[in-house]
Amino acid sequence: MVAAARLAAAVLVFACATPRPGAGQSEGTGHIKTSSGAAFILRHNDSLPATAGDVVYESDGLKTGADGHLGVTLKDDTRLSLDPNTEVQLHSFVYAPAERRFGFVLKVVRGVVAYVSGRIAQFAPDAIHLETPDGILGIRGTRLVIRVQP
Amino acid sequence: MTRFFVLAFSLGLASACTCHPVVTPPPEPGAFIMLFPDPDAAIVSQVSVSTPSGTVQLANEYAFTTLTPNRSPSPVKIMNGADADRTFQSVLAGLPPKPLHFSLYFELGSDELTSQSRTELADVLRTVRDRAAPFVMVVGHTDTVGAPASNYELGLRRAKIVRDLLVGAGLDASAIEATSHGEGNLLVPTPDDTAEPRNRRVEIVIQ
Repeated sequence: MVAAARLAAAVLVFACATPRPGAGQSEGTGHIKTSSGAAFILRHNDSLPATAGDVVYESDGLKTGADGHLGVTLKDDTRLSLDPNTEVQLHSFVYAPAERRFGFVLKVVRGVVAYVSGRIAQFAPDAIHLETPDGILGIRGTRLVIRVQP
Repeated sequence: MTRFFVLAFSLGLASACTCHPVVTPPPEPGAFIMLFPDPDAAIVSQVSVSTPSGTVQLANEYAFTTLTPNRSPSPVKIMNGADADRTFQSVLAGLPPKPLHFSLYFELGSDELTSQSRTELADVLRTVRDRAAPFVMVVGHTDTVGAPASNYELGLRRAKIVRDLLVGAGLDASAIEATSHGEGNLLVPTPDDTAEPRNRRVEIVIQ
């Protein structure tokens, strides 16, 4: 019993110590493709001006001001567009087709967002959740607009 | 329903008149979700919208529902397509261009492109040059001839050859990611130790 528990503990430690499959392969979750006006990446309580080519990471937010627009493409080919006065929060993004691991959770906090689904919607549609303050969207694809007034 | 047509109409006017970039506030807090046509779609478009008290399915072009706090989603309605396109013209136009995918093929056990793929490389280079802020992902693959570990290395060599060609053509090295799946992701399923030209490839995604 004790031996079994030790073995289980050892296996657990090994599992935790093993690098996540695919970790280090992919830097970031996607990229800013277009940015105009007041447009920002929200990262660790900072608000960084967003420029075309910038890397977007899992758990980043995106925010536009009164004259701001943002266009973003994520690694699975998901595309997002933000109109002015819009904020979204990327809660999770996992795209590891070689390991069959997928996940995408995006919250629209306020404003107007256009979304075109990417390959996660083809491989694992149940792994996608778009959230608004009052409800959750499950996505089989492909192109939609979400408008949120908080 | 009338309320949302009025809302759509007023938004349409606001976006048409750029001298007044004032977005008309909707009458009350909540969310509006609409499915749009997608000419590129390889799968049937469908969205389920759920609150704690109910779920509706959007399965048609320009179908929409609205969410208000502590209520079920409103019954699905269809908006006139021209009105919907005009209302959300700005946000739809802001979507980045559709990513494009290419496959290039290699000689047996080699990091040498087939002659046909050398020709197709020109299309890849042109596509990358035509994009603003391009980002390219290159994944190398092999057939099942040889050991998995050496095939991982071969796949990586193939990916890096293509990466180096793109960098040589002027693409910033930080805008390319080269990885390998070795023999782990066959395009054409085969038994082990099977030479299959269609599996000896790099898949290129240009975003």
